[in-house]
Amino acid sequence: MIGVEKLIDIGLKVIEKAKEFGADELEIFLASTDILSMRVITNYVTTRRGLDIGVGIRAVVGKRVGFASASSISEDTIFETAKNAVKIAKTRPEDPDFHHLPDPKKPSFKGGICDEELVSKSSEELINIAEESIKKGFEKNPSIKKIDYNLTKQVGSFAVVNTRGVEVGDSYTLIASWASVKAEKNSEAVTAFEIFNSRKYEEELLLSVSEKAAERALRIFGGKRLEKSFSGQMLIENYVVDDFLWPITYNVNARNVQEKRSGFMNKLNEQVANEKLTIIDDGTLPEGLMTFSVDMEGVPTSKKVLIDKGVLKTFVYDSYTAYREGKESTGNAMRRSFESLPEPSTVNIVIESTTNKDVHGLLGEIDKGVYIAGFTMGSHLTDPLRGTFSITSLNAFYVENGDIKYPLKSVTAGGNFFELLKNVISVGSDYRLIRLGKIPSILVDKITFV
Amino acid sequence: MKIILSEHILDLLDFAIKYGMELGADFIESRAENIRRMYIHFEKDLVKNVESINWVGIGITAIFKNARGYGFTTKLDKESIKEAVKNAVEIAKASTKIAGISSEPIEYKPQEYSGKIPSVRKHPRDFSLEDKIDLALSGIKEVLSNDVISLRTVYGEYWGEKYFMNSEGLKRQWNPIMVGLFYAVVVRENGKIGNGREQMSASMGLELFDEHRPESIAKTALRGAREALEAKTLESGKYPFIASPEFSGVLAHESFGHLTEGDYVATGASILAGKLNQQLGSEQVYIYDSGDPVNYGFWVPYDDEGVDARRVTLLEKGILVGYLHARSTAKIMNMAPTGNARAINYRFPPIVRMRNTYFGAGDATKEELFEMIKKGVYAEGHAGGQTEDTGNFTFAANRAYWVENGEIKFPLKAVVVRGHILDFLKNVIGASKDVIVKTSILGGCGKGGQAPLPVGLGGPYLAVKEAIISFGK
Repeated sequence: MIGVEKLIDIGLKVIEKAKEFGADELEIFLASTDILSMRVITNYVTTRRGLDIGVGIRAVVGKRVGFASASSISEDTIFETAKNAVKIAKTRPEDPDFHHLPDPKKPSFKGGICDEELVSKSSEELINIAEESIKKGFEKNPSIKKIDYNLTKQVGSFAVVNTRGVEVGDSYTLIASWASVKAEKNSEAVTAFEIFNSRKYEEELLLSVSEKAAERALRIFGGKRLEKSFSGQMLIENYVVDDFLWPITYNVNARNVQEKRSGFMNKLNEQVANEKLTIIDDGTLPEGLMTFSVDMEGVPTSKKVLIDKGVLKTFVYDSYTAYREGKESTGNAMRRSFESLPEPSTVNIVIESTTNKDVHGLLGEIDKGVYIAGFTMGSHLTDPLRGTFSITSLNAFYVENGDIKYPLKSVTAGGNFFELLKNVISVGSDYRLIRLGKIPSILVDKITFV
Repeated sequence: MKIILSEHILDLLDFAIKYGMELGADFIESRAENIRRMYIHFEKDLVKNVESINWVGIGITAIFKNARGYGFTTKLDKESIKEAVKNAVEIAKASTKIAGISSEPIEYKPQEYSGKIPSVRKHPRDFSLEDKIDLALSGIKEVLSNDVISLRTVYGEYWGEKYFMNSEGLKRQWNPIMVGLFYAVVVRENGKIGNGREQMSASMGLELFDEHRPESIAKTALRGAREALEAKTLESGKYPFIASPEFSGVLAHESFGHLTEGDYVATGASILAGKLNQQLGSEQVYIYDSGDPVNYGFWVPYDDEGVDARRVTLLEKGILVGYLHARSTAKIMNMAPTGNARAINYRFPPIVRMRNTYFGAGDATKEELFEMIKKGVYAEGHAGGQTEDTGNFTFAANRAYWVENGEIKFPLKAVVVRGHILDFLKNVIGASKDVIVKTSILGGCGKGGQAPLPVGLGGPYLAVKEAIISFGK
C-alpha cells in the first residue's frame, strides 16, 4: 500500500513542472489499490491479488482541457503522461463552460471507516472464509447444485493535487461478497442471490452469504407463474432496491441536467415524489461504501437532501458543472478509476424510513401485490430519462391480504421510475449497504405484473 | 518516444520466477506489458474527447499442486515484484482444497509461431496526434452535409510490448498492434431518420488507411444511413439467407466459439462437452480459431502462457474436432494446449479465450454463392445481439438487402436473425472462396470480468438454406 502522503508528494513533483509542460493548470489524481479478488465458478477458482497504482492527469490550456492516464507512478511515465495531457488539451476545441480546477477547501470530517482488522486479513484467511461460506451453502440442502461465488477485499488510497493548491486525499477499506445459487429438486430448477458489502470485516455476515442465497433458493421451489397480469403493490427487498431506483443517480446528476437529458430538468423545488419520500445523498456517512473526506477532485464531501418530503431540492455537482452555474461543487466528483475524468455522481443515497417495519412487517401492508425478494434481470434496460422499466425477478412471491400465497418462478414488474417515486406507500427501516447507498425495503403501489 | 521497458524487464521476470520457486511453487509464469491505447472521439468535425492510457505492469501466476494463484503490480521495483510473487504463491498454497478443477499445466514442447507477422510500415507511435486527427477528418469531411444530423467518429490505436517467461525456461516477446476507424452517421430526410455505421480495424500500422481510405469507410456508413431511409419491411419468418464475412464471424465467435472453450467444456457447462467427433453441421462447414490475423484480424503470436497461438480446427466438414485450451484445461481433458490462454492485461490471470474465429472457405465465387439463393435475405455486417449458453442466438445485421437470382434488389429494415447455432450450422449450403477476418478497435470479447479483449472474427460469404428472420417496422 502507498499512503496518501506519499501519493501527494508524487503529485507535487509533477505540479512543479506544470509551466514547463505548457499547462496553465494541472491536476494529478493518484490512486493506489491493494485488491484481492476471488471468483469461484463451478469449482473453477480464479484468485488474484495485486497493487494497482495509477495516475490520471487533467491539463488545462486556456479553455481547453486534456486528460491522459497511466498505470504507473514512475517519474518518467508520469511526466510523459502530463505532457500527453497537455498535447491532447491543445487539440481540443475551447470549452466556454470550463472555468477552472477546484480551489483548496478544508475537509470537515475524517472520512469513512478504515478497518485495521480488514487490512490485516491475509489472502489465506479470506480464502478459508470463502471455502467455509461455500461449504455452508451446499450443506443447507442436498438440492443445492451449484454456487458461483465472489469475494473482494480492497484497501485503497487516493490523492488529488492541483496547481491551485489542492493537496488532499483519503484512504478506505472495503469488503464485498456475493453468491449465486442454483438448486434442483424433482427436475425443477430454481436460482437465488445474496450479497454482502461493508467497510469493515464482519465475519459472521461474510460466512453466511452462500447459506442465505441457498435459503432464498429453497423458498422458491413449487413456484408458479401469475395466472393473469394485474396491477398492484410491490414490495422491494432492500438489497435489490437499486435495480429499481438507480435512475435517481442519473437524474440528479447536474451534468445530465445541464445537457438536457435529465427527467428532473426544470423541476427544482417541485413535487417530484410522494411527500412521504425523503432522499439524502450523504457523503459523510462513516459506514457508507463511497464515503471519503474529499471527492475525487479534492473537494470536501457533504450531506445534502436531494428530495425533501417529495420536493426536489438539489442536484449533485462536480466543479465543472458547479462553476458553470456559478455555484460551489457539492463534493460529488467521482471517477470509475484513475483512467477516467471526474463526473458528478451520488455517493451514498439514504432513503428515510416512514415506519420501523422491516421487509416482513411491510408484507403485512400489502392488499394484493408482489414481493420482489431478489434475482432481478433487465434493470440495466431501464431508460433513466423516460423512466420506463420492465424488470423480471426469478425470486418473488405473490401476496394477498398481508400473506404470501405462493412463490413466483418468474414475474415481470412494469412501471415508470418517476411514477414509482409518487406511488411510495412505506419505507422500512431494515437498512442495508448496497451500491446505491444505505437502503431499506420499500413498498410502492400501481405496478403492473405479468 | 521512450520505451520504458527494456532488457531490464527480462531480469525482473527471471527474478520473479526464481523467487516464486524458492517460496515452494511447483511452477511459475511471469508476464510484463507496456501497452498504450488511445481513442480520439469526434462529434461532427470537433474533437470531443481524447482517451490516452498507458498500461504498465507485471503479473505472476504460481501453481502449487492443483491450485493457482495470481499476483500483480504496477510498480516495477524488486520489492514490489517480490510482494506480487508472495501473493501468487500464498493464494495457490491456500487454494488446494477449494480448487475443484485442477490448474496444473500440461506438458508443452515449445514451438515457434508459424503464422503471418504484421508488417508495420507506418507505426502509429511515429505519427503525431494532429496527423491522426487529420486522418479521421478526411472521412468526416467527405460525408458532412445538411441532412447529416449526427456524425460520431472514433479513431483508435493499441500497441506496445509484451514479455513472457516461465520456470521451464520458456521466453517470449512480441509487440501487439492495432489501429482502427469507426464512423456512425444519422441522416434525416422528410422527417425520417436513418442510422448507418462502419468500422475498419486491423493489426497493422496506419498504412491500413492507404488501402482502406477513411473517405470510403465514412461513405459506407453514410450509404447505410441513406438506405435505412428507404428500407422495406417484410413478414417475419423463415427465409433463405446469405451471411457476409462479418456476420458469419459473429456467429462463429459468439454462438459457437464460446461453447468450445476448454474451461466450459471441462466443467461440463458447455452443450458441446462430450460431442467430439460428432457431426454438428453440414459438410460445407469449417470453423477455425487462430492467432494468425488472416487479413484484418488481431495478431496473437503467443498466448499469455507462452504457447504458440496455432490454428485450431474446431469444425471440419461439420464434425467437431477440437476445443480451445489453456495448458490446465488441456491437461484435464488430455488434449494438446492450443494457445488460447489470454488475459486482458497484467491485472488478470489468463483464462481460455478466442483469438481470430472464422468459418473456412468454400469453393464458390461470391457471384456463384449469391446465385445459390433464389430469393432471400443478405445480411452485411453485424450490429450486436446476444447468445445463451444453450446455443440460442439473436443477432442484428448492420445492413441487409433483399436478394433475387443473385442480385441485390432493395435494402431491408432492421434485420434480426435468430435461432439455434446447431440448426444454423446444419443449414449452411455453401461458402465462398475468400475469407475476410476483421478485428475491432472499439469492441472485443468479454468473459470473467475481462473485457474488451481484442479478437478477430470472420469467414467467407455463407449461403444458408433458411434462417429465422424478423424485420423492423
